Amino acid sequence: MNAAKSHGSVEAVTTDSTSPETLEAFKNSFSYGSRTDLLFKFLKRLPDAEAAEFLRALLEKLGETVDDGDVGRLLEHIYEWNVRGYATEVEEARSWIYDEGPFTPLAKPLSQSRLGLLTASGHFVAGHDPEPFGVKDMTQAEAVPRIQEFLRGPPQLNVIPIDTPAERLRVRHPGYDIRAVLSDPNVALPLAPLREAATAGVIGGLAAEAYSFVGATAQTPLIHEHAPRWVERMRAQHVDAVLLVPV
Amino acid sequence: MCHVSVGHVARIFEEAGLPTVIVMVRAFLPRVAAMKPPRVVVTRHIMGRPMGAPHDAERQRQVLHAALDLLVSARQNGSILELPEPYRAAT
Repeated sequence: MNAAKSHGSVEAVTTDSTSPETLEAFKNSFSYGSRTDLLFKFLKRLPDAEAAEFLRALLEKLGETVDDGDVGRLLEHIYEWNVRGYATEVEEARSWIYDEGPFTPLAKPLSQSRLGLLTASGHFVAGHDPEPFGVKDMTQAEAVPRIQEFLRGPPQLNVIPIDTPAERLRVRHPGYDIRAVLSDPNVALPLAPLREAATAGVIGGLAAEAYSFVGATAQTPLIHEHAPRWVERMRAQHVDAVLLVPV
Repeated sequence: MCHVSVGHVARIFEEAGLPTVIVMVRAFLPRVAAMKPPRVVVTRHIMGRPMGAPHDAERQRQVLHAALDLLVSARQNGSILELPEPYRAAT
């Protein structure tokens, strides 16, 4: 670094690691960078001035919360900027936009319908790790930097028996902040409320198997190979309708 | 990309004659709506928390029931229901 500086060119100085970090570099570092925090990866999507405004207003609201303890304003602030962060996603999309879509009506009353559950949350049952890329016991911290490999690879479907207790569930996903689902899997894999609805007779029943996969996956194999097979798995469970939860 | 994946699963299931309902957070609604999904319940929740905060069983139940109701009430593709309740941490 000192050698670069001694050349004295403007370019060498700006690449010197001792030069001040730019706001752009700072906000981007939360998205698969030196400060990775997937709850705040949307900062990378914001122009500098908007990211600065998010942070300014966050501190203002934090200052108010110091005195009254009302965290609702902080949650609302993060929510609003989640929405702003992804508002332009469609304009950026190069594919997977459709002019029309299918619709199948529910064939039976809900109280006679058997429900299936499929989530993109990356849950699996302890002892049944799908071992992505052949890696045993991959941690969340190891999975996150491999996001591009997940996005290029086919999905792996994890079978989750519907009566699996929360403590037997594991989760790993390179695309989202898993803090909430680690604390309570029902945040994205709503087994408990579904079982409750079945017991209460609101729904006719539940498929014996729920399913989860890592939603960060290649679309072409998903569309042409995997999702059609998942239809067959649902049919084998005599499912009448499916609840889908992306994260 | 998670939401695009689930948008595709919804389309493929419906084409095969399996009704579906998606529960998701508001941030990804524009992207998913552009895939013409059959039924979507949208929550005003923070990313990564579609059903509600950890241990907020009441909210999770409420969101599930909204999804079940939409399975029954939807008559056409593009049935999107936005729930008004803001995200809350469980107390």
